[in-house]
Amino acid sequence: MHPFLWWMTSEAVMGTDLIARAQTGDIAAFERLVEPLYEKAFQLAAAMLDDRAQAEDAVQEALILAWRKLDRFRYGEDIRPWLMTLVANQCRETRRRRWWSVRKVADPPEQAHESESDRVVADADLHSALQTLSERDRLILILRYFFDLPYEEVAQIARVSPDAARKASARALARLRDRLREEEA
Amino acid sequence: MNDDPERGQMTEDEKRLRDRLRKGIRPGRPSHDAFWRAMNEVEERGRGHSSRLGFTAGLTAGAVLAVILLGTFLFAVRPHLLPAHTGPAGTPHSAAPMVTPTPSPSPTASGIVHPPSTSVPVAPLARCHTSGLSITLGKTGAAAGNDYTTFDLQNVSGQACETEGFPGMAMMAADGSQLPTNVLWQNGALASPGPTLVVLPAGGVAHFNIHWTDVPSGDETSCPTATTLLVTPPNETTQLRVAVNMAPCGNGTIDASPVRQGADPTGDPNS
Repeated sequence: MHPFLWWMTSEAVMGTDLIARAQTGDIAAFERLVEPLYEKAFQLAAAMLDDRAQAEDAVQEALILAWRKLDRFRYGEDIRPWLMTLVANQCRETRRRRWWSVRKVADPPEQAHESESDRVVADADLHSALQTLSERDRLILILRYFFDLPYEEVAQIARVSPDAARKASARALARLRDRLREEEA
Repeated sequence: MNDDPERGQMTEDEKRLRDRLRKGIRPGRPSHDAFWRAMNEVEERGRGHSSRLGFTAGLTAGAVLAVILLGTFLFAVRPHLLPAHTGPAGTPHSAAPMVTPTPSPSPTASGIVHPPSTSVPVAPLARCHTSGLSITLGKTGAAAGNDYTTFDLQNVSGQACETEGFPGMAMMAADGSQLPTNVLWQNGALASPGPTLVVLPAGGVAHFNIHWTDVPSGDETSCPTATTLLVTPPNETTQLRVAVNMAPCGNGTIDASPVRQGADPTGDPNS
């Protein structure tokens, strides 16, 4: 079974009791709540940002936001897509800041933020092709085809309807195929 | 993969791409102490959560104690200073509203009711009423089927007021008919951070953002265009009107942010 499927179908993460305790300010309960989700959150951020160090930072910021917002978390909902949404949003912020930091440099070196050792997408053509996709398309492709999530959860995390997620996924896959053909040509 | 009916319709070409994605992306594992470093940061920088409860409880307890002490002092030492309507416990009525009442959440067209945020003890201000607000359409943006718009709310009442929560919305077509509208106050980017108390001095401005998708879903082949948006400010029951040009799909689904202080600081409706 794919690791993410296992993660998805594993026992509910201590469930609502931990959430309720964390909502009262119990940080130990919060740690127990999010620790099982950390690795997959990191993997999503790494795939989105293509940089492991930035991924750790993005997940850290998402966890801080989650802790601050936890009292607004709706009781009975699944915390996993909620946390993944925060991670995806934080990745978007990170990329936005990265764009600004590149703009501020007069003559920026090509891909200055990356080092080969940090790179997550090992296939160079795939790396280039993914970089040309929009933020949302990349997120949907990664959630659907790398993490194997159902469209309902992809939609929840990407904040679109399930049907829109299906269509966006098909379009993004077609775009990726075209880009890869261009790269390989 | 084969047990997924949606995947069963994938072409060989798509399957090759999917396999390439799986092989090409190698996120690996986080460094061994990354989680604990993150949790240390949560503890250091995320104090707003846990301490907020203690702060509120402490202030409430302090306020109650102050009222009791003041009442006891006035009753025992200077009973002639008490107003005529003082209750039997000797608590002056004027001292009662120390804490702003927790605002009641306003319902949306979708029927979702969100929990009110923790109230913060402040000097009581009047709630911002619809009649004391004006609305203007701010910046709009669109990308890959997603549309975003910002609205500014200005306090035109001449007096400071406060508001907190999400706006309600209803769309109207050019012929004046009401269109299906499904306002969602989600935990997504627009809803983060959640509602906070917004204090509007006379002439002050607040804003909120909305997002919708213009890609038809389900049985939709097109999505009806709204030319007017009726906006209900938080905790109000009457609406402001603003001219728009929007065609949200998904039976009129609109994501909304809470009302936030000031004009949109980024100028970016997708924020």
